[in-house]
Amino acid sequence: MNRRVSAGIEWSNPIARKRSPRVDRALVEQARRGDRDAFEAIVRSRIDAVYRLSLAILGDEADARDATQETFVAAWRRIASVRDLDRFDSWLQRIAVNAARMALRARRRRLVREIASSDVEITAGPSAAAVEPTDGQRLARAMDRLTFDQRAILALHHLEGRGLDEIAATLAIPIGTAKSRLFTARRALEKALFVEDDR
Amino acid sequence: MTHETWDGERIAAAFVDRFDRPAPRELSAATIEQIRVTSRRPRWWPSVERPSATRLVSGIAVVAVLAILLMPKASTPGPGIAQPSATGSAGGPSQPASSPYQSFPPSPAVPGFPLTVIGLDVRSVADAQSLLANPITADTELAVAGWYSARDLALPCPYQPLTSPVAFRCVDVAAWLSGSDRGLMTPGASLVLRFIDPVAPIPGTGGPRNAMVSTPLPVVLIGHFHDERSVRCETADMDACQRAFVVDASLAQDGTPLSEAPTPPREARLRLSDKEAIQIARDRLGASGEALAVGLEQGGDAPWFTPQDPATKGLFLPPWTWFIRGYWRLPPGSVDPRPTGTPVAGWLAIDDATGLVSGTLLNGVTGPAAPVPPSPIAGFPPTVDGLPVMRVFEAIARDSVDDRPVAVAGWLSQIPPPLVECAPVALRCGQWSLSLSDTNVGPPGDASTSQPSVTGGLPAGRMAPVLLLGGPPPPPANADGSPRRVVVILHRGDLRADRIQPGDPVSSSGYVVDQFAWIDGVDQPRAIYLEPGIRPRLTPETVLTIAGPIQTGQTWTYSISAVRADHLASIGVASRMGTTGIAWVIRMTGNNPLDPTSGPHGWGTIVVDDATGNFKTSWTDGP
Repeated sequence: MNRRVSAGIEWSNPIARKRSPRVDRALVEQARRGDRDAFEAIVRSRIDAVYRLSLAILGDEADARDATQETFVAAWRRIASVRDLDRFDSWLQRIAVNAARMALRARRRRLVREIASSDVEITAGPSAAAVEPTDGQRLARAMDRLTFDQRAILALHHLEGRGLDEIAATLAIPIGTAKSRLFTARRALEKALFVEDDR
Repeated sequence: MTHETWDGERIAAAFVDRFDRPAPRELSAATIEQIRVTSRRPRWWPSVERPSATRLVSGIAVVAVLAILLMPKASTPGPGIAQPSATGSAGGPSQPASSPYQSFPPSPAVPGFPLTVIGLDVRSVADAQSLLANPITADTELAVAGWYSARDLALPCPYQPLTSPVAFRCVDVAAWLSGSDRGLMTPGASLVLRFIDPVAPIPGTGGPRNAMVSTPLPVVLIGHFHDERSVRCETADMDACQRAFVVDASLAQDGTPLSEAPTPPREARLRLSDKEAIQIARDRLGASGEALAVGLEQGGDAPWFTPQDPATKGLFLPPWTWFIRGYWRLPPGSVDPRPTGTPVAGWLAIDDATGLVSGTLLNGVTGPAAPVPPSPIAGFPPTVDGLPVMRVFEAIARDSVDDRPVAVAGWLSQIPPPLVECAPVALRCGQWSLSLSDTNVGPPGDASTSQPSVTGGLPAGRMAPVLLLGGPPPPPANADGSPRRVVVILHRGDLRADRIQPGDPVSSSGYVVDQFAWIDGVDQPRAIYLEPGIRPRLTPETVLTIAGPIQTGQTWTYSISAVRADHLASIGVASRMGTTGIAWVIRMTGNNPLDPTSGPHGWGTIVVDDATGNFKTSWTDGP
């Protein structure tokens, strides 16, 4: 077995999807003052980004839809508290991460799993997959093995292209903490990907 | 197998490949629709803090903290007593005057003020005045823009101290809202304001309620007419009391809060904090509603408050009851004839001791709600089998029929066997039924007591379905017939209930006893039940050995039973078991054994085939 581990974590992220343009300051200010039409314009411009982030964290389309809707409802209810209009995106992403966290909890509450005894064997044998999974599919399965916080920080960095300062602002943590968490999450992801390779 | 390098570039590309998808087309419209019925939240709520002692009422032991600031007496009407406006047709309703419901069209924009605040249309003072010409009710919450003034005027207090000499307090200040920045109190064109402490902050001061505001202050006030507490006014003053505009929240001209909401005094020794009470209210009001103001009264059911759900009458106990005013929006299909989305305001009463909620909001918010997390109960263990022990009324208040086990402390009494026929299914008829009470006084279930009680098993006349899923017979009564002190593990919504009395909603909502876990201070062994007439091959110990590997982590088994496999069909797990005769059912609680990240309050079942030893499990993660 030739297991190669990537050498390090690169903090810049040139491959991440192209960032959406920043939300217009004036629009945020109007919404902050209670202009519902302005907020609806924000919803239309940011809903794809929020849905994408929710989907990456939750891995489930139905949950991502719920979390996305909850994100904007919560944002509307709290938008008067936005102080720094230039950081609206980070503020919105923080709400999205929290909404995803709540969606995950709700999923656990409602989930009733019926498990055959054979399923209890965690170390299942290799599956005879007829088709080689794509990188995206392997990534999705590997993400399932990570904690919520790890999935969130990886999605912010690798999917949304957020730098450490923005991640720190979004998650309300110091930059140093963001750096170490991202490092740990990346290592965990690599291990999970190797496990997927072995399946 | 060769492992390829997953560098950042490849990971990012995989993220994009897998997750970079547009939101479903309908999601945007659905989200915007949801936002249209969602109010914005005043900014002060998240930051409310415990009050300082200075808010205590004159050092008197706090009997009630609701206080009335100002109400001009009707016999000597203040110049701002609201009168129907001669020009007030802008908001005139189309409904007949006898209708209890009114829906008012939006007011024209008020220059210099926002169109809406916290989800309510902003009206002018004149427009608000005009609404008084209609049979407007206390459930109509209004946002009114104008100029606030307060002057030092000696006015008599119209309120009768119904519960205590300090229940209401009038101060020598007159406050009103004018339609112009001249700030004049003009009969018919100004709103007389009333502040009920600790409901709303006073504009311009943020603190003292008798502060003068001589320079008119542009504000948006959230409030209502016909406050229910007007019943405390003397008869001669009643009309003036009802026409006063009771302020629930005060916002600046731009819609931002003026100051923090006053909060109750720490010395009240409350179990809930104001934040918790507000959160409980918000949970009931839902996303389309908003909590506006908080009040607190001594005692149980307030004289002015009539719970919509009579079942909650008597559940509100001394010493404190919270009253949260809030609004929500009428949902589609409401029996209320007003248009969908109309804000409807009212009061939620929250028992400080239990977290029980009852509401007066029309068309919806009724009945007991989820209580606050149970606290240890004196004389009983805090937990059994990983389950927090709750009081009887807390179990009732959960009000969910979800098969979830709950541990309930109380005093257990046996009731003579009922004279009814047994159900035509393979369930034994019990010779007893049980009643669990919060107190050990009086026979539980006695109509003369107001204590809520849980009836063990199904309602009187039915056997308790404990016979299938485990649970020993009930402990014998004390020699003197007095109740036994017990902790019982129960679940509600047992799927077999419908077989006992098909279609009987009372049966399906009954509590099923799984185990008497603790009796008079002694932990009881795990309940093991063998259905009569069966001879299983396995022993309970063997079954536990088989199921052992799945019970890793923090899980507790609280009952084991062996039953005829065909009976399992009624609990939905037998069809694919392949067993021919007997199955074992293990009920457990704790962490999901297959998901170490789950919370500690899940519950599940393992079903073991007595013939083969194969087993299945189902699990529901707890909150």
